[in-house]
Amino acid sequence: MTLAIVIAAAVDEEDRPTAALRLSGDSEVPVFDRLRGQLAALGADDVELLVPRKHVDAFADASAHVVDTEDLADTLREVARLARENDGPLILAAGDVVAHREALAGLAAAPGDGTGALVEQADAADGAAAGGETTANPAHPSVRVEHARVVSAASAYHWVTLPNARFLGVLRVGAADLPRLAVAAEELAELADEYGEDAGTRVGDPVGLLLVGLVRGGVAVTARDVRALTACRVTGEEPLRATERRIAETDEERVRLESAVKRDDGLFATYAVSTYSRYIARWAARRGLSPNAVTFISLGVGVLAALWFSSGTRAGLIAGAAFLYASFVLDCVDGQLARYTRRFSPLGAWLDTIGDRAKEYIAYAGLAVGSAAGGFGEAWGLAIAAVLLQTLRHMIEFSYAAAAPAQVAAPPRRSPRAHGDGLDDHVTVPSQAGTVPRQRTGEALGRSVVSLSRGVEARGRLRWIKKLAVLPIGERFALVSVLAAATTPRITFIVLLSWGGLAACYTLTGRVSRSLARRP
Amino acid sequence: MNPIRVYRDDGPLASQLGVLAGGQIPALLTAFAGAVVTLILVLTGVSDLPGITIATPVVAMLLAGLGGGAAHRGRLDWLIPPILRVTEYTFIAVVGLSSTAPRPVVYVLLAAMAFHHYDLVYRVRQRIAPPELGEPRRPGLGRAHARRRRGRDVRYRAVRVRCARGLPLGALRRGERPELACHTPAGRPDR
Repeated sequence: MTLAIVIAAAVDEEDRPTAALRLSGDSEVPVFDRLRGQLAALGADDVELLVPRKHVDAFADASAHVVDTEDLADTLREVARLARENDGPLILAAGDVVAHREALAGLAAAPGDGTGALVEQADAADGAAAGGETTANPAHPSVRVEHARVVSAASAYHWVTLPNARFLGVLRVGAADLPRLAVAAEELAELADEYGEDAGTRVGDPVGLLLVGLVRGGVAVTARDVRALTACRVTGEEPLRATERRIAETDEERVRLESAVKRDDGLFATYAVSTYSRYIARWAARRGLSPNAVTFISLGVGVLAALWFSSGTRAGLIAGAAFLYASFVLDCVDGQLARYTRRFSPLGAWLDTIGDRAKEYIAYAGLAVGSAAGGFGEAWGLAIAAVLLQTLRHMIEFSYAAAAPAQVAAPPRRSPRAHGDGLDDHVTVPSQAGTVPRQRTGEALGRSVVSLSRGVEARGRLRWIKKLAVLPIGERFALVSVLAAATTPRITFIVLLSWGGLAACYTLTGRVSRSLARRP
Repeated sequence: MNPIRVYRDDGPLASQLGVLAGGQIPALLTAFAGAVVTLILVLTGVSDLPGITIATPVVAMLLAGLGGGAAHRGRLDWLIPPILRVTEYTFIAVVGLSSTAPRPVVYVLLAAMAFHHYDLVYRVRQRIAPPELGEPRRPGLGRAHARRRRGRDVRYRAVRVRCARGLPLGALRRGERPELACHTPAGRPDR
């Protein structure tokens, strides 16, 4: 079962627990109670509230199960105990988090059984806001995020070099990582005993410390960005009112729909499909269609495209192109619908990807039939070559992704080594910033290609060209549609093969270089 | 198990050879050698060859199976599955196209092979593979672990049913090949 642990340890300037501050409005519910309700609605079967003994009176009317703890070490031990007992995912939240429901859902109801942390990432534009200490909320510890992973986290006892995001006080720990959470919590508890709470100078924030423990213990922690939504640890009356205003001002439904669109998608999918496909997704959600149903409809439309292609007439080729585009739109819709309604399943993901391949290869067969039927010449050989090339390109992709994760992530430019004192020395740091060994020739070559590719990544328009060059699925479908409608199936295949062949050479060169650049 | 070893898609015979070699034979080298032998044969033209030489690539690819027992953790070992795929597809495509078989049949055969390999990858990725294939064993997970594994078995069965009934191409898959799991050397769990 999913267990949520809400830790109400933080206090405001007058030593009142911030989690017990009351929201404005008629009911005046306390902050922690709103959070409890939100977590319960997001699938937490049970909510435990950990409260320091001296503040337990402030939570007398709490509807959650209240556990009073002695001090920081005791709180951490209680977390370790609960982590060992529980056999499902665990949500750890600071009691003073005031957030949009959807911001929490992005973490708590994410697909898979991974571990994640709710963060606010600094955009390139306002990097100063998160990096600089002036405007940032002191209750939000700095973290460094790379490739959507939290690679380093700060607390009152730990520093982070080059921080680029802030941790917003909510963690989700997957069932598989619970033993490691328990170990980290116990280690931290012992250290807290040893160091005492340093009352007055440092604030012991259990959730922040646990994130440090997880990250340094080598657990893969996914960074879940709040994006346009709000989540904030309130430090007093005034920040609470400001946060409430921000939450009220945001159109949560609109943001939810926008965040259903896959980020970092291809050019064609982003600008020619996702601009409106989200509204189809919303319509489908209201009609109660499941993502899998949309996948099947998309597959059906793909088969229709192939049937039109196979007629071989100009009208048939144009109609086929239109159907192929429609089937790609529906293909985007199913994913958006799944994210919008949070209906993820391994079967759905399998079906979606297998469906994509099926549509593509059925369309190629349709074109080959149409080529002969319409007198454009024999095209089966080209169709076979197109299938082989595409499958090969995918296999390179899969196989490379399955190689050691260290290989996928490029070597860090400046190693963000965590500096710290006290607790730092005792918690294992994943060996990331070692000494630089002698470079082999392959390594040097690999490194230069990797740095070139990074230079391209940095420039906006070039990044799009780079994406376009590898001919992702959206561009492939668009290319087939346009060329089939305007030219002949043979020309379609020849262009597809040339472009795909160049793309294969390009990715292969890049990846072999990256692999060689990796330290053995 | 290292997913790259699963992506090789070794059959029973090749797996046995891999066991025999005991992981002592470099995998990338054998796969590359198999590919080179096959591609040379393809370039010289398969149609003019006397009967038995057509079996050369089969032997070459079986020898590539000798490397299957290795750990596949080298820097370039991720190239092995694509090398094996390009060899097998190219050979079958060339043999098919130079024979009298109708071309659509060759297309369907190759598409079926491609789907088998996509299916293999997507199942490992979605963890709906047979548990002995994709699942890393983690220490200290007792009950919860067992329960999750049971849950996965159910989903896996659901996919199999869908394959058999819903997608005709999926039904052409070969067996579930639990044999791959029998000789996994005890190493660190793959993530």
